[in-house]
Amino acid sequence: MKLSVTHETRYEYAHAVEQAHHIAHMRPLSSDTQQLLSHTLRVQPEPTALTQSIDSYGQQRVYFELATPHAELVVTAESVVITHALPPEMTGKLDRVTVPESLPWEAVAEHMQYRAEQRFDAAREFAQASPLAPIHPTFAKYAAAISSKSQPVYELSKALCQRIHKEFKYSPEATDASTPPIKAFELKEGVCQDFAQIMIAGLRSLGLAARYVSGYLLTQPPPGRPRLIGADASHAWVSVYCPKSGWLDFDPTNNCLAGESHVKLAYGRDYGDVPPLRGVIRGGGEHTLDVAVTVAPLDESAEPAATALSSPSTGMAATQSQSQSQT
Amino acid sequence: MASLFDMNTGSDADRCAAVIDAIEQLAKRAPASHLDELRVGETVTPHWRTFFEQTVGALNKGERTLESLLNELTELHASLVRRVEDNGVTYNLYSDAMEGGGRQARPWALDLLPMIIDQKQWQQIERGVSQRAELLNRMLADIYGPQELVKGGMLPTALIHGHPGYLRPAHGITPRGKSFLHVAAFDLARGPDGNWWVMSQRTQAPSGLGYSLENRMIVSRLFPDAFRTLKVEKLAASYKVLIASLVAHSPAGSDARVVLLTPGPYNETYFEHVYLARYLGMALVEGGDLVVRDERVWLKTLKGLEPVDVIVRRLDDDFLDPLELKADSALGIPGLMQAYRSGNVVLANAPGTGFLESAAILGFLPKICQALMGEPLAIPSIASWWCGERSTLRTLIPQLSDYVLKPTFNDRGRRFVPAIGKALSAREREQWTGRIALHPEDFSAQAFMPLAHTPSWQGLGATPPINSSAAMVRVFAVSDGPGKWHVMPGGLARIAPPGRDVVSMYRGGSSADFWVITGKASDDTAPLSNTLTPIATHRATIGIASRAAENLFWFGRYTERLENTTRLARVTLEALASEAEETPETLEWLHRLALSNSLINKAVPTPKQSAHVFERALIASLADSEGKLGAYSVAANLSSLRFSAFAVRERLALEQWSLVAASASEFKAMMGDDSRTTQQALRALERLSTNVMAMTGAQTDRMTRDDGWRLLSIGRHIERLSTLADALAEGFATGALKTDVGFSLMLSLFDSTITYRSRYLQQRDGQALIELLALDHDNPRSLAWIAQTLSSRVAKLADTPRGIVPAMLANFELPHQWTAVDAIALASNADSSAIVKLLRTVSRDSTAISDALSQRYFTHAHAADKAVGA
Repeated sequence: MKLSVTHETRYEYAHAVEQAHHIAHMRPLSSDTQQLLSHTLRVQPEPTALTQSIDSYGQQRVYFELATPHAELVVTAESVVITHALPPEMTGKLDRVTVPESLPWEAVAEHMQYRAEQRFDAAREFAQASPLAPIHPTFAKYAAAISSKSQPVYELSKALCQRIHKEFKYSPEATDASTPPIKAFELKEGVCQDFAQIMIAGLRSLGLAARYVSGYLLTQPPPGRPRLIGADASHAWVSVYCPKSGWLDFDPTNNCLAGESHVKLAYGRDYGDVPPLRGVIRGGGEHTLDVAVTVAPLDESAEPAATALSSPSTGMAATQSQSQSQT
Repeated sequence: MASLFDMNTGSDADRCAAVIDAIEQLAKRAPASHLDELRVGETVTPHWRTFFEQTVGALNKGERTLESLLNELTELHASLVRRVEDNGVTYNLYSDAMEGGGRQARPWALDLLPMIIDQKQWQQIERGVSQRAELLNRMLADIYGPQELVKGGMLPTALIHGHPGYLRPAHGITPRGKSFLHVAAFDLARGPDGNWWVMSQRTQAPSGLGYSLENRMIVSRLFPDAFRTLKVEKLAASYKVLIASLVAHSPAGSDARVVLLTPGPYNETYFEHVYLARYLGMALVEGGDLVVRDERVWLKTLKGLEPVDVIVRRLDDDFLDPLELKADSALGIPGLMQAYRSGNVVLANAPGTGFLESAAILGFLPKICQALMGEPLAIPSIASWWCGERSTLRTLIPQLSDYVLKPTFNDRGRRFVPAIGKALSAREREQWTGRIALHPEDFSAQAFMPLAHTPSWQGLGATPPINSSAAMVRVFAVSDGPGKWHVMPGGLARIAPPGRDVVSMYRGGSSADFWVITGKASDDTAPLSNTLTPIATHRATIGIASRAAENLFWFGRYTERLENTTRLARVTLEALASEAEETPETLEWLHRLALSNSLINKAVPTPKQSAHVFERALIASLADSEGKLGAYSVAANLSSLRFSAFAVRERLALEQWSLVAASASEFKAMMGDDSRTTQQALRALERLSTNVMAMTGAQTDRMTRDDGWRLLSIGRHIERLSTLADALAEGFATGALKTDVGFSLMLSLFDSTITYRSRYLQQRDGQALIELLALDHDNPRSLAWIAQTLSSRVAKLADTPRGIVPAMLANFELPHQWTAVDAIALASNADSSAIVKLLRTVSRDSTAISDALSQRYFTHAHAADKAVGA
């Protein structure tokens, strides 16, 4: 499916910010399951310096500075991607999904262990603890409770994903971007980031490799289906590894596999590796943050776009802004 | 005819040998299975023999006995303690010690006796350390590049990608010359077989280069003959190599501007940050002093931003950049990683070397050395295993008592205090086994090695006075251009407390000078320089950093405050003790000044109520350096002065610094406890006044007139203006000036008695007083002179044209702008309220001027960085 994504982040500060340094991870990936057709990133006011570089996972990262006082910052990423559909037996709610075959989870965990002169597998990095997806007995217990002996790793992941979806309440007020997963776990509340990190921590605590996926979700509800949650902001889900079979993406927020409605921005160990936009500012006082994401299909038979949250992005192009094409 | 001297037995040499034999008998032996550095079998080693020969030889001929030697060592030790104290060598302790804003700086522990090693040992160390530094640098180039070591299975993913010290934002960055390390430190110990082993590696921001130098400066001067005769290798050249290499790595070359980045005064090794910055001739900066613009690093100076090319950083990785590393770091510089990525700044050492410090890494080095260097390790590591490797775990668990357990990772949740297996009870071993089984990868194990013992001085009170202590040495490899390493011939020896086997400065250990004898050292017999002369191998100088300027400003204020409180305390005590009848007005005036200058606390009765209690309270507070009695008097000001002098130490001559430190010790000694009589207190204050005069003299005569000095001077004049305007205001307000006693006390307080007498004879004349103390433009204690000087210094700072009051001061009440007629009229008025109000405004405005300067020129804590994210 061909999708256009507009991702606008707007900071409004009570006082002028004297200087600011930011890093953006807003360029969608090009991979086996997704092609990036175009991408632009606009920063307003015009940054005093802007540089792109490649992160340790081969993804694009944009650094920019604002050395002049500013009371507002608007960062707008516009992208067009083609996403690939999953086979029919892998779409829909997980209860009805058949996951591909995979190795018993104990064998996968064993594969992640170090032995001298072992063959390289880059996935091992994602079996290690990370600040926001640590290895912890609480998570091990939680994940082990739904596992059975020699259960294929994808089946185990599916069960864990279902359990999180069932037991956790979606609640944007309960947590923020820096909430440790153990805290969200105790609350049994949170948003997509929390659910993803809890699931990753559960898998890692069993010795398995799982990574964090930052991205977007198309929320046009199919007829008669409930509207999916997570469209008014960036989205996040989990990618699980099995040697030979590869990575399979689970979305614990929506209890499904990530398919053609999911647009991938970046992979990391957890949110901390790939926040869409992070910055350090001096001055500014209190600030308000407004994030508006619009994902819309661009097919010939295009219906009106499913706009998650209307944003004044159409007016933006007319204003004085600098545009950096980064495709 | 037989000389009288022949009655003593034997020749000099014989007597000397007898003393050394006695030392051998006396000094404690190393325990069985530990090597003894003092002896070979039953005799003293050749270099220790030379050491004692020279030390005995320095004694008077008739006094070459064991007893005299021990007395001499006692005196040398006292001298060492004094030097450590006077030079302000400290090691800060974290923890509750800092409550209440105070800081607990422990005097640096330094043993009298050096640790000495010979050429053969040094060759092994030098070769091994140099090879290892190169090996670690190549490992970094691999890990932050192709990662073949992980791909080839030579290093576990867990120890790299699972280590918090591996920094993803640094991946893909190749620093100039592929030099990730500029300084690497290795802790080495000697085993029972006489071989040296690497116990641990320090790669992030190794400490010790400053302490090593300071230890050398102190100990070599206590044993000049031994030092010269043994031809001990000198250290200075190594520091020159370091600076030259740093500068060569920068695109700016010899014009490179170098700064030393410190976490600040509360860091445990802050002393050596100050010391090294001064010695290496670089500006000492904190994160808040630096800013990244256009992907370059800049230093905030009084004149604006100046570029920085090289940062020697003593800040740990995590804290370097809140944008890309630890987001809540208030110590770092946002954008620093990008500046590094762009190749615009040399970071020494590069960020991301921390994983090499893990004990677990040591076990993998033999094969990696073979692979990367094509040769075996020249100096082995202590046998080390990572428990994350299953096969290791199986053999280790049943024999836990043979090992030392160390944390693999350094993050808060996973690190622990190392445990020595053989010291654990059976039950404790059970518990450790349980912990390891749960998270084996968090644990590393090392073989237990009995460390060699070196002689240490315990003092005459101890039995024996010379003990033997377990020792380790920290040796430094310094980059000498790409792929080349210079190993400093010396370093920091650290010894365990008597009877202990764990060597740690943090846990009560001591340091010792480390003498390397190769026989090659130049035998230049020139005496060592008495002061630490900064080495200058690079030309570029940097303007005065905002923070340095602020410190100088406070140094000036505390100097003046000390001078004021010392004089006020003297004047008050003399007045109370004098024969002259005190008037109620004068007593009230002295009480108000004692309160406003914090010589007493509010609860103390006024001298009218009880002159005796007031006097005793004032004397008690004088010696209270911590403000425990609710006042902040002379000794407390001395402490503050000492702290602020420490902060600007890199700009002070050593004598200037020592004077502050020595004055504080002397005052403390003379005041003793609070039972001092008025006479004793006055003597201490008098002596201190003389010292303060020497301090202010040095500030006036011996410092370059740059903006830093101007701020120091401004600080002094602000303090003086405020104090004297206040004293004069209260003199009018209480009516004290209308009494003969009050009038003459006021003149003493303004240090203007002699001038007054020479001009106006003895009469009490209100108009003359106001002329001399408020309006005179030649008397350095008159308010007009002070305001004039203050104003002109501020004008020079801000480049204001001559004769104009700088804009910054325009709204303040400045006495040099008063007209004589108006001021005299105000002062002669029977109702003093107008002159009191005016003078109080002057005093208050001095504080406002201080705030305005601080706003304009200094780095501000309130402008803290804040992380945002979406």
